[in-house]
Amino acid sequence: MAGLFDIQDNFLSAILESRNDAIVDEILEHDLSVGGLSVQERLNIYRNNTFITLKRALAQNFPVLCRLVGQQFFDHMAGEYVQKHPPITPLLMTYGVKMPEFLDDFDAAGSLPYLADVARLEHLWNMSFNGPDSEGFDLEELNKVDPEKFEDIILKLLPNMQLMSSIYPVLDIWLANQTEEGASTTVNLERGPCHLAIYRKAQEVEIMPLDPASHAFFGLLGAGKTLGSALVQMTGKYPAFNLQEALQNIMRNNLIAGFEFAK
Amino acid sequence: MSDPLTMGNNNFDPIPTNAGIGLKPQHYEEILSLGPDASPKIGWFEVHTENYMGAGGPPHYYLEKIRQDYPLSMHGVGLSLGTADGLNLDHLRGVKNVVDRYQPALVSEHISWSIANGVYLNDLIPLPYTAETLQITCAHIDQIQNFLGRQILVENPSSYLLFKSSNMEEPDFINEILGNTGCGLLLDVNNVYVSCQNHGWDARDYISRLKPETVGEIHLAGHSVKEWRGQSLRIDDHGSNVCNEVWALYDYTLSLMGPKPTLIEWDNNIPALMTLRQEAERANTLLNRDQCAKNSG
Repeated sequence: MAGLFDIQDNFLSAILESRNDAIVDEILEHDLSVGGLSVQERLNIYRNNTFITLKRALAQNFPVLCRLVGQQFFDHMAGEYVQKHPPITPLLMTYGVKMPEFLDDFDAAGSLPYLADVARLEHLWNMSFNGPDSEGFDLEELNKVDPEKFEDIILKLLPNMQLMSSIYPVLDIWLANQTEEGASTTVNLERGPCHLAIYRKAQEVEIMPLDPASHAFFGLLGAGKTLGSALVQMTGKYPAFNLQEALQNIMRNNLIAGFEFAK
Repeated sequence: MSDPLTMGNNNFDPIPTNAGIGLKPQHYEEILSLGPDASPKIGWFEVHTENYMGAGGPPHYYLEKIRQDYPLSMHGVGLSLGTADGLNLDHLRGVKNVVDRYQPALVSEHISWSIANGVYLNDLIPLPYTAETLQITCAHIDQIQNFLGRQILVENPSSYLLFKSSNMEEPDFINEILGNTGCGLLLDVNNVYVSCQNHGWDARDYISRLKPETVGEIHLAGHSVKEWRGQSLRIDDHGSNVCNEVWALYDYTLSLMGPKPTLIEWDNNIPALMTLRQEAERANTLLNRDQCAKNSG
């Protein structure tokens, strides 16, 4: 008889890789008059249960992806995902972090090249939905800052904010597929790249399209740069960048969680 | 051994000896708009601990509000008490954070395993009942109770297979765990029924071998029946009403143990809140009858 470690290791192989050889010897053959299932059939119940519940978790976390490819294809794809990237934590609310790279390598999804970026958007949406709450910030605090110290400010944007860029119009695709009825709407792929900020102020996740310069600026703020050093980097790369307008946009949309000064 | 029902800080809004229901996001708004006094009254709520382990967002927003009006129980599915290669300490820390935040009256887990080689299978898989498994499971329960600074309850499993190496019967294995660790039992009556049907055991005998004073909570749920080549197997899927056979077994359990806080669990094909409240009322009817009997006897 194997010890507990080997039993669990062999059970795992049976569930994820359908390699039953090592575990079947450990499982009691039932009296066929009671239940009447073979050991293989009993193992299949556990295999099915694992795959069904994990595929369901993926379908919950990637509803638009599911609509885009259809339930049947998604089911097949999600099964392969579970096998390749089974969860390594019991927190399934953000299960599927590797879905974008999985789709990049998933040949059967090749005809829809934007799927990986849609998956990325849905994962970031989830991260924002479950991310830290922001306390709320009084803009007056910023007005009190001595203008001389302004460039030393490190501006904290909403703690649940996520940023992404895509060469495809993924926000349009995402918006068009919020319901089953919308799933037939065609999106003009020629509309080209998009840059997005995904964040949650109260309980609703919002997605804001950004111009490339604002996207870069948000990224610098997210990386903890001071306004002074962010401005230097921005003007080098985006000569038309206007700091005042960018800050007004951030304030108007209540995207600030707080600020501190560089030491 | 310390007294399992007085150990730990279980003084915060204790779970009343009536029926509670599993909290589901579909019902958040309706629960808040009903308020705690609506009839039929909901005695308390139980949540899956893992669903409230994100940093923020709507799950916490609603649970904070609902927690103000109702006693709470937190029921975990991810600690994998019977894992041979040690508890996931990150997960244990996460459980402690959420338990500290919401101060639930009860914290529970399962006598089963779900993690091997760091992979989480999202299922409650049975254990072989051996001295080795007993030692591992008890050590993990001790570790959890020490880390959380409180008693936990552990739930008896439902299962579809048994291991050849088992040399203890399930109720004896459970009693050993309770005796060794001072944890309490979350007696899932549906699980007893499902496992006994699937393995040809006697459900009343199973329940009569458990110690009433160790039982801190009862679970009731629906299950389904699958047919294979004319043979049936009970699947514990929490997706329907509690069946009459399980109600009868619950009635028998109460007759042996007296009234216990009882949860209606329904995790798949989630129905209208009213359906859950009606199931809870059915449990309350049996609980009240036993309560009256206890008071007058």
